[in-house]
Amino acid sequence: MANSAIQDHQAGNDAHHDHHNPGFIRKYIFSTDHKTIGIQYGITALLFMAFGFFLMMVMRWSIAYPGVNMPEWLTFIFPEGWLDRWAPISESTSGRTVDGNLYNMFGAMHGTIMVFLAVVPLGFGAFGNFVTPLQIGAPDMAFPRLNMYSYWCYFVGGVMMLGSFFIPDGAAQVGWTFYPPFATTEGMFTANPWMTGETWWLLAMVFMITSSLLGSVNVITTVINLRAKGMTWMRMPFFVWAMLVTAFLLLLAFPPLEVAALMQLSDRVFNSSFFMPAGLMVQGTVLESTYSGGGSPLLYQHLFWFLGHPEVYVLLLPGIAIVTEIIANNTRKPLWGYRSMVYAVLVLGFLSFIVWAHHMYLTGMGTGVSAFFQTTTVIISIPSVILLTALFISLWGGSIRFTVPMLWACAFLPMFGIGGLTGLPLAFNLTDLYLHDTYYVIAHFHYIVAPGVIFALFAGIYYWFPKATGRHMNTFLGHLHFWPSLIAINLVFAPMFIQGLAGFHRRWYNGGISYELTTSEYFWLNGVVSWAVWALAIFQVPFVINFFASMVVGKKVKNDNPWDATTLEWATPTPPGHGNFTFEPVVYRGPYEYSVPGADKDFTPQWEEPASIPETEKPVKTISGTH
Amino acid sequence: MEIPHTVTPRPDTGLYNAKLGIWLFLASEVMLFGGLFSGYVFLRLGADYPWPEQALDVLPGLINTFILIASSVTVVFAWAALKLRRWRQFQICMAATLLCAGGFVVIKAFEYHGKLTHYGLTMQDGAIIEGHLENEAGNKVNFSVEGIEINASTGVPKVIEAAIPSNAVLVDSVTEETLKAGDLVDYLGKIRADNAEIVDVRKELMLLEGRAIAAARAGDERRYQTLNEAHGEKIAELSKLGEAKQARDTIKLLLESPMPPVDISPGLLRNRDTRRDPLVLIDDTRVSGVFNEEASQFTLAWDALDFRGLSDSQQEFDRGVMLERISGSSLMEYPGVRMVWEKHWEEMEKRLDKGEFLREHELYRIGKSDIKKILKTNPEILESLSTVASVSGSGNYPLASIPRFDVRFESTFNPRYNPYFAIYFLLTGLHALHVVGGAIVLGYFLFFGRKMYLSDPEHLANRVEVGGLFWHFVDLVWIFLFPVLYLL
Repeated sequence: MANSAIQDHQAGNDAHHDHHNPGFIRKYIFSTDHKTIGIQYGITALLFMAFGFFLMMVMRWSIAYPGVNMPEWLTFIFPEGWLDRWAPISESTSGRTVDGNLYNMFGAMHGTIMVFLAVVPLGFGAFGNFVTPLQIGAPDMAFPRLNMYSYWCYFVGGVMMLGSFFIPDGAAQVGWTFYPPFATTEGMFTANPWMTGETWWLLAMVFMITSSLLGSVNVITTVINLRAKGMTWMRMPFFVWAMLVTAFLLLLAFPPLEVAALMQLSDRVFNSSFFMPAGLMVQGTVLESTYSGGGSPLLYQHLFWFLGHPEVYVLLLPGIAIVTEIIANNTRKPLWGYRSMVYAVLVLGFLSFIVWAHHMYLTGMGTGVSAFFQTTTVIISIPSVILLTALFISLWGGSIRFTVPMLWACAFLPMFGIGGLTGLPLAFNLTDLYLHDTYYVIAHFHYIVAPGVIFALFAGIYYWFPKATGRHMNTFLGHLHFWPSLIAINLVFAPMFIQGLAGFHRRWYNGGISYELTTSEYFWLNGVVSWAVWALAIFQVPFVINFFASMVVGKKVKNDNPWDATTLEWATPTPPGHGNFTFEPVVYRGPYEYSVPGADKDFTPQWEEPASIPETEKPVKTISGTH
Repeated sequence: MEIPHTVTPRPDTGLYNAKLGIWLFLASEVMLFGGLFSGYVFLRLGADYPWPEQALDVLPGLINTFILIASSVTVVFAWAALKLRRWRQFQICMAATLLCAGGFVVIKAFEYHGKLTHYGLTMQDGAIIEGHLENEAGNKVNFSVEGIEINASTGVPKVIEAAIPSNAVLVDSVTEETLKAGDLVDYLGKIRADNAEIVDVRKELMLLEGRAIAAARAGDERRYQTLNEAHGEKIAELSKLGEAKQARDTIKLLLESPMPPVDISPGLLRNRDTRRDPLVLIDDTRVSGVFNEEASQFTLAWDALDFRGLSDSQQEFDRGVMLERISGSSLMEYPGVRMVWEKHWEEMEKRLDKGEFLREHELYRIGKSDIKKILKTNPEILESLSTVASVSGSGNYPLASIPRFDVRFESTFNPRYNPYFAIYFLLTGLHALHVVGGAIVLGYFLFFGRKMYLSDPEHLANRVEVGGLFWHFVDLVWIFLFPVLYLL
């Protein structure tokens, strides 16, 4: 540390003479290396994603076949005792059926797990951690130890969420949004308010918010302070820009949710009345002597959606970021409108903070407020469309290599387009009042998150897998994963638009069998969707096999830059060692210099020293001189 | 491997990593406290109950304000001392900072203790009387149990046991079986097993209905007929089962012989309005018997009265209506209340005549300091009362015995009392946690920083600077928090 002032400028050189030789636990479990942490995040998030998906498979059974016994393949993962508590064997049907309680529990936990434990940790935690420092030429994150704490906070939060399934009252059953007063009074008549799924959910949330706080501070500091020589702002890959904006969203949007969680925790265990109005009645009892009343349920919704809407972009931006990298690499031409995309993503980040109440048109918060949020919501579609348009135009005239990651990235574009455009009717108060509680909304946001973001995340896994392991994933299995998944996922969500427009309520646990007048015409679509869901599950098997088998027997990469890419992560050894770079990376040009006229190959990496430098484009010698 | 810019600033951004990190962290903290302050505004604007204005003692808050400001100064001196490489001076300044933090927390603890021992009782008509409880009897419901009715599906014996001693002997009103209260768990389990059969038939019935509807929808006439017949049979089966077992949804148990009255904690009650018979416990168990009014009353050394709750709306107060309602209020029956109110209103009228503008919380609320003044200037009030309590360190106050069923809502000034105290505790509690957390970090620099000071003093100075920035933020939060909670 004594002569750190000198060492500061030698970062990256150290991989050669790094005598740092940690034991197994420090290296793979409590690691401070951003790549290991990224992989930890990735694997944990994928496991959570599988579990969240499985919950949905059980729910879809109840929707397609209400009151019918569950087959063995839906119940085998749950312990016997647990099933006896939540889905006891009925004597009449001599099997286990899904009842409303179980459906509500799985519904709430599916949402929570997918959003907070699967997609965000995979997009921001895994890719943000693994790729960002590599792309800016940094030896690691700015605060490696905080990075480790971030992962373990997330892990503890996740374990608490899973643990809540096994406490007597079961996991939370009040929707992933936790609206009071319902969420507060649910389970309130129990002897110990600390031992309910809802309380555990709130506590787990505090851990996960802490995790994302540590992660976002780390990413922003890293991007601002640890860029390599010559890596000016406009030479940063779009991926890094998107991660920077995502980190700011996490940093600033999550604290109000923490406030909401603490207030609701206080309402649950100390019987305060932050969100409890006066004169509330629960199960035939007026709560006037337990709760003083005088609070506001609407306050919760404001605090929740102040996080909730930026959270949508926290889900989305890593997806777009990955797709952008892959499209630029596989079209073999510069990204169309790089600067426009950067400005668009910045505007998008800002606007995402002032659109939240479009989730709340149904609360009757007033026409003036609705009009404001209607306007901002329509405005925010502009930067989103700029991003998508730039990506579409980037395809134009390129000699596209349809590698497996590129397939997923290409699928992302129309899927995200469908999801985005079907959101327009929801932006307007008038149409939203009809559509809000229907399957239309489910279809809309799942089109963005599932065939949109999750496809992009798959693209990312296929794209950076060679860098992380030194081996390619199998192309045939990749195709076997991609094509059926694309078809199945559209069969899952497209029918929901029809059902939603026909008035199918989105919280029916039995698919609407008891609302014959509404559902008779389209009830059969429930079966189509459910079978598509289960088929989708089967076609993830090739991915699982591919993922693990390729680590051992996959085709070895031909060199450190197997995709012929231009960004800095491909300048590192494969897999990158502790400290990442074996030379001091210096950046000479923008991130997407593909097919430069006159160049001897169709890609010119950022780190490649120009042979002869025209006076005007001379590389900057010092970092301070670049601005 | 060495991370760049851990100590020296990066030339183009002018920041070392930790400094940038702490500013980002503080931005997040701004959003955290911003959310809380927004919540405060939202709750206050939407309050449909008398918002407690100037409800806190200003003096401890003011002292704490100066303590925190002083500590912010000393932490800067500590940093400057490190920059000048004066270890002894650093130690002194940092120790002073920590002492300030300790003082702040101690004062805060006294304030909290005051709140948590001070009661507010909201009467059925909405008037509020505040003070110290002289006995805890009012906090229990004293009840002579005669029988209980347990909901077979939701009953939690643990809750029932709390209401009845385990050696009490109970008689099942249907089967006339006798059992000890301690054996309730097994008994309940047996009943539940019996009931399961009915529940199953009901489930099956629902299933048949669903299938019949599906068959009708598909136009399958024959299948529909078959299902319809099966449905009819099930209904017959259910009614047969029902005849034998209908009574078992609730289990009614009577006490064989009278028991001495028991205290039931209000925490176990669904509804604390004891005028209703029977008493309903949180597990839906109904307890019938005799409520002992005498043994369940609050004895309160009262020191504040608030009549604003008598108004229909918290936005508009009609003076004529208010005066009429106040003189008819249930609080007026308690010794001393009417006298104090009359003295207070005389004073108010005098000030109104002078043309002073008085707010509702001045007109219809008589706070602690007002009551102290009234009792001091009119010693005849306390002399005329038969029961007077002396509260340690605070003087003598009139004593009132208030029956439980006159009280709609009772609580100490804890988060449950109303959203004002809820946000008071949440805001100040989170702030106090920040003070403690900051003090731990600064204390670490003071007590364990020597080694780093000797090897890399600049790094330690950076750390203290970052800790100091956080400390300033904590101070700044208090600067906002103090006027909002104490003065407005």
